[in-house]
Amino acid sequence: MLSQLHQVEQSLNQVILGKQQQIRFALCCLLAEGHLLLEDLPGLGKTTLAHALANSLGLSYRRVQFTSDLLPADLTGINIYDARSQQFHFQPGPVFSQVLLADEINRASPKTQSALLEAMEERQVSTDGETRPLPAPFFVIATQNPLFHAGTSALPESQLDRFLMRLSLGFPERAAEHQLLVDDAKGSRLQFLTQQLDSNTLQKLQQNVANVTVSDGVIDYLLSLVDASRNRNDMLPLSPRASKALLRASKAHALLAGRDFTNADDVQQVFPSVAEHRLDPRSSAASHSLSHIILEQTVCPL
Amino acid sequence: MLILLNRQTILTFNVILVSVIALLQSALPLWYSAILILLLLYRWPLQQSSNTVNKLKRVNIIAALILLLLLVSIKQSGVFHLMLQILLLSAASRLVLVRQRKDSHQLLWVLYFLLACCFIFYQSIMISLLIMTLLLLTLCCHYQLYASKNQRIQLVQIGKALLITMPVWLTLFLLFPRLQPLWQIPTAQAAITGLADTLDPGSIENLVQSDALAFRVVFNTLPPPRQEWYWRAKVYENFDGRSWTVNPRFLRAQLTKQATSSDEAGTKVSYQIIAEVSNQRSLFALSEPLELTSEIRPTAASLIEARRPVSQRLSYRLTSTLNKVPADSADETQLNLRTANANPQTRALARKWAANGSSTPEIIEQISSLFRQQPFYYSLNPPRLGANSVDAFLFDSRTGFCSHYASATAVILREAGIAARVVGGYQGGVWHEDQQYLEVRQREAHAWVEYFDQNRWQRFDPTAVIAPERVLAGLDAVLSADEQNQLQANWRRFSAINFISQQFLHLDYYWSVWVLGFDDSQQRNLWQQLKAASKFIALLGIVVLIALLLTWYRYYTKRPAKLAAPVLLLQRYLQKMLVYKALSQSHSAFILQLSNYNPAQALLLADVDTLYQRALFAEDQYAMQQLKTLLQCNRKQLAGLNWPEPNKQSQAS
Repeated sequence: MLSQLHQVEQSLNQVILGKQQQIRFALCCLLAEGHLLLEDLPGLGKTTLAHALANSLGLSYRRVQFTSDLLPADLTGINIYDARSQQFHFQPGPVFSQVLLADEINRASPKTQSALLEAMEERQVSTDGETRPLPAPFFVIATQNPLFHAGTSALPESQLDRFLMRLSLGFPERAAEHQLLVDDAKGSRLQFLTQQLDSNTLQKLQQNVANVTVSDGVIDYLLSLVDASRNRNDMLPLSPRASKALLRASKAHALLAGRDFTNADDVQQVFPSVAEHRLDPRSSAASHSLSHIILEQTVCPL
Repeated sequence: MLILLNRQTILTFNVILVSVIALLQSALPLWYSAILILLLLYRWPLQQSSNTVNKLKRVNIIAALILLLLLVSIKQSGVFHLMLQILLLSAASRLVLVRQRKDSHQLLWVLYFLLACCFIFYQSIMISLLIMTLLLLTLCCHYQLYASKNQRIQLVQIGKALLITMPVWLTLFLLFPRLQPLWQIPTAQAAITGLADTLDPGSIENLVQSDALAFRVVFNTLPPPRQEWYWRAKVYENFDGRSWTVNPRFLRAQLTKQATSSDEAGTKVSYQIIAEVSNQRSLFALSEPLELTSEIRPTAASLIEARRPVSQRLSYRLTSTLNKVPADSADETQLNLRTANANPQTRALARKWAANGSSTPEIIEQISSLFRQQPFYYSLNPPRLGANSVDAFLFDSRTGFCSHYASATAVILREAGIAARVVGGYQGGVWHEDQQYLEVRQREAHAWVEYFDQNRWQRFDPTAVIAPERVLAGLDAVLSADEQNQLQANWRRFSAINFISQQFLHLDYYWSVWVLGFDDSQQRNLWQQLKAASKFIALLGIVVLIALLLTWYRYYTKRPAKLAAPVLLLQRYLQKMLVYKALSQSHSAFILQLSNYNPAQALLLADVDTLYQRALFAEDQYAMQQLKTLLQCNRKQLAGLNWPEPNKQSQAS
């Protein structure tokens, strides 16, 4: 099962070159049943990543381009009157998919944003008094542009908290980009991707994450990291939701590394991606300064 | 490890050593200081030529030659000085050769010792500050030799350390027993200052030219009136027609009996005297000293003396009665009736007065009126007198300083059959009202007469007759403007400098009273006061103890949880290496880094890491056992692990 997951990782690496770390964290996010916020300039491969993930995992994939006139119903779906059967039929929106790419999420109105965020948290959608569950692995990859904010509504702090991790792909290395350009002539890399995993296996893997052992020492260390953020006034304090997210991400990271226990390095490695957007919502995804301050100032007794 | 000293450090060492040589000047002959300086200068030609072995050989030969010279001159210098000289020689020859850090060990420690030795010769506050500065400089060098390059001196840390050590230091200063010195400071070469054992007609005038401090007095009772400030230091009983000398009985063994304490209670004055270095035994006291502290002992003629020559500033307490001085032995009067076969005119005058059948007070009155009525002058620059100095003074020049008047009076009295002697000492002083102490300088040196009447030695100061202001207002009051200028050094005329130097003197005074003068008796007083306040101190102790316990408890509860067993195991076997682990680094990450630096042990370290992780994070007891065995079996390999030096590491990165 795990080897299949590694194959997925490998094939993703063939599509997005030179971004092993980010791909691993994205998978981590998926395994930990969290959602991912990608913050990047346009054209750095956010969509490709989402698409490739969906393809190789055999998941249904929808993409929504968020705009200021996007309504909640455009996202969740509406009841349409069928004149023939004289009944209302629910027409499910794009949110009813397994991998949803919410492109430029900050362009949508706060109302639409919160509809999506509610769906992310509750994993269900309520329309016209009826509650409909979302498909089982439900993974949202939201993207936003860190530079151009005109006409956008930034995600509020409380809603940023809903994303397990915030990542930035960043520019590729020169060699990787060279390879990219050479291969481009041969056609899209996405078409080489084959399905390596089905959604059932993925769900089992997600359950395995919960079974990863976490020793008291690791939890203590994790708590002292969280505590460190709460005793300072140059950053926002990390919520219990954040510490839960940190633990889940660490466990998923351990599982991806092929271990059945979490160690301190797992916590240290996922900490910047999990914590930075909660410590300072206005920071850019590329900077991990606050989380590194905490990591450096917290004693690791393990 | 080869760590070269930089130029700056070597230069600092040179500065320190040269300063020490200058400070220890009184223990070194001049030629020796010159040789040491030359030896230090030899460093530069030496460094440019030849290899290390040759250099060592050369310096060894030079040092051996110098040592030989020192041994030859041991008679002049004495053992103690020889020891200092050898230490200086070793420090200097080390400094000539010093190139790398490990050479500087002995140099540093010898420098510390030499700096401590400087305190043997100097106790004044300014020199103490200078020595402290040199000590600080040495400490700085020491620190910089061993600290890593970029590390700056952490003032806050040092301040904290000082704060913590301060109470300990104060307690030790206050309560540590004052031990007698282990060796005596040789004084053979040291120049004697103050009154000499011989009183020539001109000796006091020379002494008065000196502005140096003789001693300081703190009165514990009300200070006596100024007319009573006659500080007796020496009694001159032998007269050869020209000069007075101290009778050898003062040089003999100390007086066993305490000077006969007077029956009738006179005014008692109790005071403390801080005597400056004089390299003599004789000390200063008001008329009849009674209760003495242990540093001093009574000697003949109710004088007191130190147990050994005063080569360091000496503080002592005593109580005097302002009575006339009693006779201390039967033959004392006989001793003081001897006359020299000189000064015939004086003899004739005295015989004439004695033949008239005048009583002793009448003769004194006649001497006074002689000085008063005839044209006698008080002068700092009297003309030179011949062999019959008293005749020449009384009947010819009639101009003289206190010693002339005292000498003449004593001769007249002796020729008239009255026992008399000249007393040398100091009269008056400058009273500092704000600081409440009396400052007596060499310029207050004075001579007066004691004659035997009514079974006691009566004080008679002829100077008081001819120049009463001398006694009442000090020397300046009687001198002409020219003579005053003669006494004053040029810089003393500037009032600002005068003021500053006076403030330094006051500072020096407090230093000597509170720091140097803190002796056994004060320590005993302190103990008694502590005893009296024992309840309060016990209470205070309990409060402090409770406060300490509370802080400890708070610290204990806040302390991070006990370390897990696998971590403790790692700490035991990787103790030396774990120093380099950053606090925020996990042990696994550290082991990985360690195996990068030690590729030979990479496999072992990887195994250790795997087992450690299983034992710690998966709480696997079996892995824990395996880890223990693995670490135990590979103890030697683990002890041989290396961590690159910080500078190498930075180069690598």
